[in-house]
Formats: sequence, C-alpha cells, structure tokens
Amino acid sequence: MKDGIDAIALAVVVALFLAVTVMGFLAARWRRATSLASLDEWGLGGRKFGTWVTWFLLGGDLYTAYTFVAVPALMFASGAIGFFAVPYTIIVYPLVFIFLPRLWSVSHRRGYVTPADFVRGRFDSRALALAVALTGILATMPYIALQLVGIQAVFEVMGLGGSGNVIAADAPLFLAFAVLAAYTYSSGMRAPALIAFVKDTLVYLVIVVAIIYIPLKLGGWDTIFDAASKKFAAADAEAGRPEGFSFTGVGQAWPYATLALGSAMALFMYPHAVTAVLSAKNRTVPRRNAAILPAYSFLLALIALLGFCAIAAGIEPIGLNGEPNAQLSVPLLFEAMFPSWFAGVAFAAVAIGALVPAAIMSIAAANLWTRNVYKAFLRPNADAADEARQSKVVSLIVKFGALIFVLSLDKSFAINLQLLGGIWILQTFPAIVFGLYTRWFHRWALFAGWAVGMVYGTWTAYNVVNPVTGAHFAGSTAEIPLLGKNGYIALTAWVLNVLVTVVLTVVFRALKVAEGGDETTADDYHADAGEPGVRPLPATSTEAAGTRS
Amino acid sequence: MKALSRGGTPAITRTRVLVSVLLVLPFVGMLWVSSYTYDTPRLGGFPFFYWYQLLWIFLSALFTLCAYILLQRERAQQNDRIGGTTARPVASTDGSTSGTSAPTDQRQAGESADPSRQEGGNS
Repeated sequence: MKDGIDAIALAVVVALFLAVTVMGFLAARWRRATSLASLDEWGLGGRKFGTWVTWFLLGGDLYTAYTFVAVPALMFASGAIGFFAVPYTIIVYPLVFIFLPRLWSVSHRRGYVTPADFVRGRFDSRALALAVALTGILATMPYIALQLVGIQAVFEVMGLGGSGNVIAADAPLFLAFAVLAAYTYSSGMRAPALIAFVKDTLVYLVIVVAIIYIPLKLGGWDTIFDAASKKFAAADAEAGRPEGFSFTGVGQAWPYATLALGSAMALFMYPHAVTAVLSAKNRTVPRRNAAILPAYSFLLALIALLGFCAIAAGIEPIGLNGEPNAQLSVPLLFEAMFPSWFAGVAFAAVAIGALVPAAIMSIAAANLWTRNVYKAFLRPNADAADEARQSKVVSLIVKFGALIFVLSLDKSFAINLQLLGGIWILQTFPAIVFGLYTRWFHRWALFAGWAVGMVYGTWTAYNVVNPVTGAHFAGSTAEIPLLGKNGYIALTAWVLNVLVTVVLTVVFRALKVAEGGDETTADDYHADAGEPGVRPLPATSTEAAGTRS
Repeated sequence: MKALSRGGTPAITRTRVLVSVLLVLPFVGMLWVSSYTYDTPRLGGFPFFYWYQLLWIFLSALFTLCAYILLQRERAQQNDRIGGTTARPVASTDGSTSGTSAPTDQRQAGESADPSRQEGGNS
C-alpha cells in the first residue's frame, strides 16, 4: 500500500461521492412526489418505476461489494473455491425461471407485497409469516455488513483512517456507515433508484477497463494463471493437500457444489430481491430477464479472476492495523495498476456500488418490518405516516445491525457475512417455494422445520472457529453429518428443515391438527397481467402490474 | 383424474418436459464438479476449470432463452384456446403428436371459458 493519502485519487472519489450524495438528496423531489410521508412514497419510490428501472435496480444488486471485493478476495487467498460464485449465478437463472412467475401471479391476484404476505395467505398462519419476515430482516443484516466491509476496504486503501487506536482504525467503516445512513434516511428508495444509473455506468466503465487493461499490463491470462498456479501449488504442498486442490478445486467438489446451489436457492428469498421481482410488469418479465441476465455472470467471473491478477501483480494486502486482509487485494490492485485519477474512479465505483445495494436492502428489510411485524402485530390501525416513520427508523436500525455484524464477526473473509445470511434466509425456502406448488405441508410442520434449520444452521456456523484468531462464525462450510463431506451449512440445515417438515406434516395430519385455510386458488398461480382478477399490488400506483403495454 | 393446470390445459405437455430438461441441464453441468476440476486443456491461457464454467454461462443463457420461447409459444396457443376465438390448427399440448387436434382443443376452450373459476389440480 502506498504510504499516506493519494491526493488525486481521493479528490476524484470525493467529487464523485459528493455528486452522488447531492443526487441522493435531490432524489426526494424526483418525479414530483407530493410527499415522502407515506410508506409507498418512501419505501417503494411511489411504485412509479417501469420495468427497466426495476431491472436496472436488480441488475445493480448483482454488482456489489460481493462481486468486487469479497469474491476476488476469496480467489486471491484460497483459489478455485472462490469461483463457486460463477456456477451460483449460472444456476440462479433456471431457478428464477421455474418459481418466480408463480410467485408473481399469486401476489398480483391476492395483493401480496412480501414473501411473508404470501405465507400468511397460503398457510393461514401468522406465526409462520412472522418467522419468514423476521428471518428476512435478520439475514439482510450480514449482507449489508458485507457492503460496509467493501466500502471500508476502499477507504482503507485510499489511506483514510490510521493505526493509532480503535477509533482511527475503524474510521473508514464509520464514514461508510454515516454516508449510507444519511442519504437513505432522507430520500428513501428514490435515492438508490436515481443513483443506480450513475453507479452502473461507473461500474461498467471500471469493469471493462479492469478486465482488459489489467491482464494486458500483467502479460496476459497465461502469465496470470501461471502465477496463481505456482502460489497455490506451493501452499497445497505445504499444507499437505492434494495437487490442484486450490487451483482447480480437486477434492473440493462438495463444498463447491453446495455453496453454489445454496447461494442460488437463497438469492430470491431475500426481501429486496422479491420486491424487485414483484414490481415487474407481468409474469413473463422475470423469465425474459432470466434469459438475458447471464451476461452479468460473465463479467462477474472476470472480476472474480481479478483476485488472480492481484497474485500475478504481487499484491500484499496488509491492512492499516498491520494484519493481512484479503479484502484489500482488488482495491490495492487498482491502486497499483491504474493512474491515480482512474484509481479514484474505480474506488468510487466500488464504494458507490456497495452503497446502493446496501440502501436497497435496508429499505426492503424495513418495509418487511413495517408491513409484517408492526402493522400485523403491533399497531394494526397505523396510518400511512406512522408506517413511513417506522420504516425510516427500522432501516436505520437494520444498518446498525449490519455495523454490529462487521464489528463483531471474523473479517478474514467478508464473503462469510453473505454466506451467513444465506444460512438463515434459506430456511424460509420450504414455506415460500414449496408453498407455491402445494398446500400439502402442514403450517406448524413448516414452522418447526424452519426453527430446527435456524438453530442447527446458527449453531453449526458458530462452531466454525478460525484456527488463528479463535473467532467464531469463521466459515460457512462444515462437515455434513452421515456423508462425512464438507458442505455449505445452509444446505445441510435446509435438508434437515425439509425432513422435519415432512415428518411432522404426516404426524400433524394423523393427529388432525387444524390446518387453517388457504385464501389462494390453483388458478392464482398462473394468472398474468390483464387477466381476470389480476390487479395492481396495493402499493402500486401506475405501471407495476395492471397496465399492459 | 388428469392433472390440470391453467385454464383446464394439461399440466404435463411435451413443451413442459422439454423445458424441464433445458432447465435441469445447467444444474447437472455445474453441480457435477468433479467433471471439470482439471487444469488442461487450456484455452487462451485459461485452465479447463475456468473456461469450462465460462462456457456454461452462455450454454445456460441459451437453454433458458429456448425455454422462455417454448413457454411463450405454448401460452399463446393456450390463450387462443381459452379465448375460443381461433379455429386454426395448433400443436397439441396433451401429448399426442400432430397439429390436427383443434376440435378437441375447442371443446376444452368451451369448458374453461372463465379461467378464474377453474379449480384444477396443481402441477
């Protein structure tokens, strides 16, 4: 790391940040909303976004600190295993294709805005809906934490913060948090929506330059892969692992496949992802986009390989506190490869690229709280202004939660934050996705399965201890009972969850435990825009659902 | 009783079987990890492990696109039938092979004039 602060890079970052922040505040007045006092206005941008804005937002979610910082960091330090993000994004699309149209249809027939709404309507269970809502809020926090770590990494490489004491060492983190909190609090969803355009333009520019210019400068992909191969061959030999373990994933099939599958199944359980999908104009939009979006995956793969570029460039990521920090490898690579002014552009792209999804996630989690906890349980007759106030405050609380995750968990791999969120959110999969296809499962069996999955997943993840630091929650894979292979905890917990659900469904049915009603009908799951009974979602004003182009 | 889905059309059709295969292929290709944990052959400097997965991004996109087009076509045909407005021959969706099953389809259309009231079984 260069000593001190690179003035040019810092100036560029500050300028771009200021521009974006000003836009964030101005966004409050975008499209002449009369007032931000209602939840629709603050949390859903008045639902005036067309399909393209909506998908720009969702596409923007894919390039986050996860892509730019966490995945390359894992590639840099551990090699092939980090590439699981590629099969993850490959299989997420067939998955989207299969069940999201059903969710779209039933939501638009019955007026569901969140997955918890659907679960309540389908299974007539307020407890299960509450479980789904609270899990969504909890799981979003470490995902936001990952974004904060990404912003922190950039600020740290720029030389902001010092090594003197705890406050100085964490100054980049608090700075990142303050910016995020300030601008979502004042403008709600409009800020990230407006900024998404600036952000995506910046991000695409940096990606294209990075994946062409950096390999050229390092002597081509041959050289880069050879450098990585050499590093990992030495590391594997030293640790007594099989040849090719770290470079081509030999012997890592189980963790690799389970991480990919578990992450893919988890992605569309997150509240922010569901919100984006439900605001699509008709049931085929998610499908059409599923066919187009893989283009994103290709760029993601090349960004992941920037971790290997950092190896070839001889980057040594040592943090301000003197400890190795793999998260710094890509920001340091940018600093080493680019002239100062473009390094500044790249830093801004990564930081703003983390800020926008963090804002979207915290708003989605806050909406979930307001709709499915506050209004459903605490104050059923809250008015619109009450709801908006709740959401604003909760979005702030969710960000504080994220901050706590950053400060308290092992940070050797930021990706573990996202994977921890995955462990939790995946436990809502049976109620939501199975529920889209069948009403056979008993509501209390689903609840028990969820509880078992949550406890097992959390406990197992807690017991993954970093051998060096002794910190808990240090990884996301553990031995799968009976199989003896290492696998993603989320998926093991999910299998346990499903087993419990199936067994208890049989038991509860035999005991004739009340099953509750089902307000949905078979035909709800196929309805499309413009067909009988399909209506705009309650929060929708114009284009989200009802109108046909 | 025959499993029915939307508007009284069969839940299992030739199109849907084909679509299922197209959608399952990426899972098989990607989750069968030991089939691609190799360094060679290299392509443009990329070890097999890496370029093979990059290739699958495009294969998966292609399969998903085909699945989308197939389903769109089937849905358009269903809509024609449900609406009962067309007599042109349409490819049968009930598993029989030819495109000459229009009379049967017309009858189905008559039975399911109001799709919102259908109480078919779920797929």
